[in-house]
Amino acid sequence: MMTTKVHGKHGDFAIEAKGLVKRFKSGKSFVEVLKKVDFDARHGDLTMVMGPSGSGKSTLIAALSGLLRPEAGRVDTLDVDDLWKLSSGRIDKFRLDHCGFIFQGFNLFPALSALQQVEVVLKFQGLSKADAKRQATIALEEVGLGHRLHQRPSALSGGEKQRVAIARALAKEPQILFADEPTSALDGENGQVVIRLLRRAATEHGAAVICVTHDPRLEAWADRVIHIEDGVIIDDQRRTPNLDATLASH
Amino acid sequence: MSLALSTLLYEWRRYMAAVMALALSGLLVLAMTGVFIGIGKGFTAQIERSRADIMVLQPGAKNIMSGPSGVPRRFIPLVYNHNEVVEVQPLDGAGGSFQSVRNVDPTQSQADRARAGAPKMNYVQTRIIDTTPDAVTIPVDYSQQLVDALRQPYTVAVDETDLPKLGVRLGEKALYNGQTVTLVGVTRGYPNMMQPTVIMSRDTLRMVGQADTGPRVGPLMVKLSDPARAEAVARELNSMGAGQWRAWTRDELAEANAAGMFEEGILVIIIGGCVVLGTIIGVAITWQTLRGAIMANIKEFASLRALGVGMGSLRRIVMELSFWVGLVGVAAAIFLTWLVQLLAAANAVIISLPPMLLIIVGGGLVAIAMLSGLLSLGVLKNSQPADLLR
Repeated sequence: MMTTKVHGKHGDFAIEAKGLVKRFKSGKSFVEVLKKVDFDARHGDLTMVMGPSGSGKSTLIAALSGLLRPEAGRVDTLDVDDLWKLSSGRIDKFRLDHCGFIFQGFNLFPALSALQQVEVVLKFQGLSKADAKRQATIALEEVGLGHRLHQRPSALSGGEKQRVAIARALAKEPQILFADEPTSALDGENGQVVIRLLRRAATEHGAAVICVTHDPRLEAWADRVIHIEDGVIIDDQRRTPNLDATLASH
Repeated sequence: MSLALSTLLYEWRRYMAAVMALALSGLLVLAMTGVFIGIGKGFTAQIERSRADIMVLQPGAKNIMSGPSGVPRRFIPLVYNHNEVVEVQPLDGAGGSFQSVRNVDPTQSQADRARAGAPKMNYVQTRIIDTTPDAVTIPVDYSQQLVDALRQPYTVAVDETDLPKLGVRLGEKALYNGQTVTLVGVTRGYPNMMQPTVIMSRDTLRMVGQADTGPRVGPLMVKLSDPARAEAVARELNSMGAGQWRAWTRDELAEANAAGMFEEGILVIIIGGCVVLGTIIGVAITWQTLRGAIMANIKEFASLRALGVGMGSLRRIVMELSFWVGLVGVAAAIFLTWLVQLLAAANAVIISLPPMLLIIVGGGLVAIAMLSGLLSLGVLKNSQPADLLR
């Protein structure tokens, strides 16, 4: 039996998946989106999953994070053996305790200020009001929004909204951070801010950051780049990230 | 502030339809019920605003209007036996025809008079006051001048809302049961939607031959030295009476009078119908509005799910939201009803809103909102975080 460690140190496995298969019904036939994919990600790494649209990269992180049940294969993550054997309530709890999520759309509640967006999640985690506020403030300051705590999304720019979403994901101090096309709705300058924050989550917080993107310019920041096409991993390289890379606006 | 409450306040336009549906459902029920209670109040206002702290009725009486309400005259001295009783007067009243004599030519036929638009004959109910100073039968808002004026023989007063119907003006003469009376006073705040009321002194009632002079009199109105002790004294009077009578405090009787309206079968059908209609409309619109509003935020809910917030927590958010929508709906319903009440009062229609009615209808509206919330929980199934991944 394969086991993984909790609170992994840099380099320890955070997720190991074996033989993931996912099919979708398309008319009368099935389309196989993941074809026996093996995948792993380590703490402290910014792992980039790249591929054209429809390659199965988003389906992969949905299966890894407990959002979309695969037809076959297993996911061992942190101290959990076979995530998909847990009840859906336990999977939710696992995500609440250990996972952060960043989406292409920012998905912020229009009624809440930046501070409240982050607090809401922390309160669900069981933090007291005061602790949630303190931790949320720290998270927002870390993404450079210390001066925008009380703005609602309507008063924030796209880049600022994504930073709120990142703060919301990071405030929980997740060991695994999933990001799905986090920069594709942003201009070059804001995209750079966001990828640097993801880089820092890996380097400084030791999180396993798994970032799905089709933007090749982000590769420069990655420790590892995985290419996926038609549901199969075709390429898996380790590389040395260039922390001073720039993401020019295009 | 919670997520649900912030969302309701910030996106209030989205929830306006639900709030309005609840408010209008509430208005429907409150206004209809209020009007009927108001009709009842039209008959009992004079008693409820009297200086009587206690009223003594027959033991079987459920309220002032559904008898038996009269008592033997010998009860008057018996009630005086309680040492805190200051004054006891029987309630008296009658009814009769009332005809304005303005521009009346006695040689004209009824048909000619009707053609000329002359005031018609009306049947009125008659209420009395005693004109002794501070008598228990005088409503608290009657002026001294009105009491003094009514002390003159053959004088009457009517409410200002009845003036056009009766076709009389202050100072004019009219025929009450064929006897000439003079209108010396006009009251304000005593409208009666069903039948005009004429106020006269007990002495005038006797002079027109309608006073109770026999061994039975109307319910007894009792004034106490200390009105605050009404409840205790009523209890003591009841034990003194040993089952011969029942003493009611004024508030107790007013509630019984209002409740008595609802023993009428037709009222139960009308109001019950309003409640059923209001509930159906309220639930349908509130449910659909909540569904739409949740769908509008479904991506945000899905992102919370992705971050590990369970379905149960999202359901609680929706239920809390429904509760607040219900509460705002109650406030809006009461505000709208108050506006309608003002409008109605300007047209001499009383809409009476006892606190108990507001509490019951308010509770009902919150229940409707919560039920709508329950029905709309289904849409949360659409909060699939996997859909956010592309």
